[in-house]
Amino acid sequence: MSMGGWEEPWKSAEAALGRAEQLLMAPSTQACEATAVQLEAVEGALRATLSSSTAARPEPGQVQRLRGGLRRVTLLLDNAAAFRLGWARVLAAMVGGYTERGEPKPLQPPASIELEG
Amino acid sequence: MAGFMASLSATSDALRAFEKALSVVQNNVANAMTPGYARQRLYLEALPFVPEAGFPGGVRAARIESARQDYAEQAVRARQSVWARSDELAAALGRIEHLFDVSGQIAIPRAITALFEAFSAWSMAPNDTVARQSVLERARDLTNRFQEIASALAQAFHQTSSAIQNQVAQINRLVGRVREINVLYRQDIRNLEDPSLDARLHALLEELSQVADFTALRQEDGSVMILLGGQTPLLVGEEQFEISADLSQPQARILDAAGRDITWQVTLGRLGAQLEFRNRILPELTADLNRLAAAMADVINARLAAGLDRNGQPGAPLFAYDAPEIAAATLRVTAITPDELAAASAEAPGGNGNALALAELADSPALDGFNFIGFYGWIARRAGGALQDAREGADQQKQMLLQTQWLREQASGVSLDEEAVNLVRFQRAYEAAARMIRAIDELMETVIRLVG
Repeated sequence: MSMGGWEEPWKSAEAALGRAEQLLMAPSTQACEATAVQLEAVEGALRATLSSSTAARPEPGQVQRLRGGLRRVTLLLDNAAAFRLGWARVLAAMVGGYTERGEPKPLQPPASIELEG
Repeated sequence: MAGFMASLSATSDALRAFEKALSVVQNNVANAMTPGYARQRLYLEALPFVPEAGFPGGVRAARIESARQDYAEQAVRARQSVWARSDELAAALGRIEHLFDVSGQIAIPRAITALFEAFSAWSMAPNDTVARQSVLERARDLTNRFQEIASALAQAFHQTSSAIQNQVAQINRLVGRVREINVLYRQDIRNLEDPSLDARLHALLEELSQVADFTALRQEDGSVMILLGGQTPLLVGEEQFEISADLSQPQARILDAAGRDITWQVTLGRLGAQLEFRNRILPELTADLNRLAAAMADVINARLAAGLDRNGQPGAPLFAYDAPEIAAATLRVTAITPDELAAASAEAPGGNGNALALAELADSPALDGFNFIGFYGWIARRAGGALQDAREGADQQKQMLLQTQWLREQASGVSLDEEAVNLVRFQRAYEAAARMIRAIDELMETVIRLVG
């Protein structure tokens, strides 16, 4: 493969998206943070694909596959967020009751500091 | 002395509390592989600390409360219902996939092409008996193909009816078993603390969620109320309300205990998929197949009637069917003889004008702007598209179900403070990831434009 071709960044994008999907199967907070990092890598790889010097481009089937992967990542991310937010609302209602508008009171994280090093 | 005694009492309470905590841990280990079992969490309750009033403080195991959060259980059940629907729909469509495989043995397009080729060959030798006989044979092949597919669709319809009946029976059976647990809870509230009973309850509810979507609400006496589609009571306390399936009409109906139609409430789970398959997908495919069969018969018969047969008589019809709504199942070749096929046009007796016109029908728009093969292709594409969507949906929903099950397992054992901090961190991570997804999506659009 020649330098500056689209294949290598495309493969990187596919691999990073696959890792993001894998991470989201166990969507802990840390996993979601790592997902954002992987997605950033996907974005970078796609930009590199677009700026590649060759006239060749990925096949429609490859584009469809990557798009399918992105759709799955989006669904998984939204599902994890919906689960957590839903639970947060239940928890907020249990802990703090409801606001005057009938909404569960938002959870207030305790003030805390973290020391590292 | 009173203070010392109070301290001892507090210590022993604390010891008992931790002892109980240990038994919870042991229980968790022993039951880790039991389906539906969730970790038990011990709730420690602070006792009032007022020594002068004889309240020594300390902690007490106020109750062993199931760490299974109703929220997480409900979320998993909701996902189960959505996944099971897609999975069942994919399976049902997969069973009729071969009928619409345009390259398959049963393929109608091949039979249509063969018939029009026979017309074409006949137009070149209009008085040849072999060519005339070939037209009749190809016509019979075509009617056989229509009948086979109509019969296979009818069989799928009846199989789905049986499946609906079975699923309804399964709902009543599972709800009946939950009712037995309700009886135990109502007999003795301490049964609520029995983890094996709790595991059985949740395993049953999870099994039920694969069949249909419902809401389970825990009542004050510990019993579980089950509402089908969130609306129709199936179980209230110890009273079960059985549902039934009415399959006597073209549209299958689900009836509540009072005989009211509640079909519209069953959209998810395997039953939801079967209802959609039987009430919408199969009738639509069958109706399209009937339209094609009737249109082919009518158009070809009309063309034959406009011509003259070997004896100079108006052409006899080639096809017959009983009624448009059962055209595919009843399509057949009439008792026409080879000589009665009208090869000549009325304007040129003895010629081949009508046979040529028949051959040209192959490419003429006949239904919704399609020629006959094109219309069949359109039916096949719709069936294939529905199958592909269902399979993709099932795969996606399976992933989301596994993810939600993972989230359920993590739903216990975190303090409220940790929970709140985690939530804020998660929200930030979510926003960052969502931003990246939007950016990637835009880049993908650019790539798609470039790829064409």
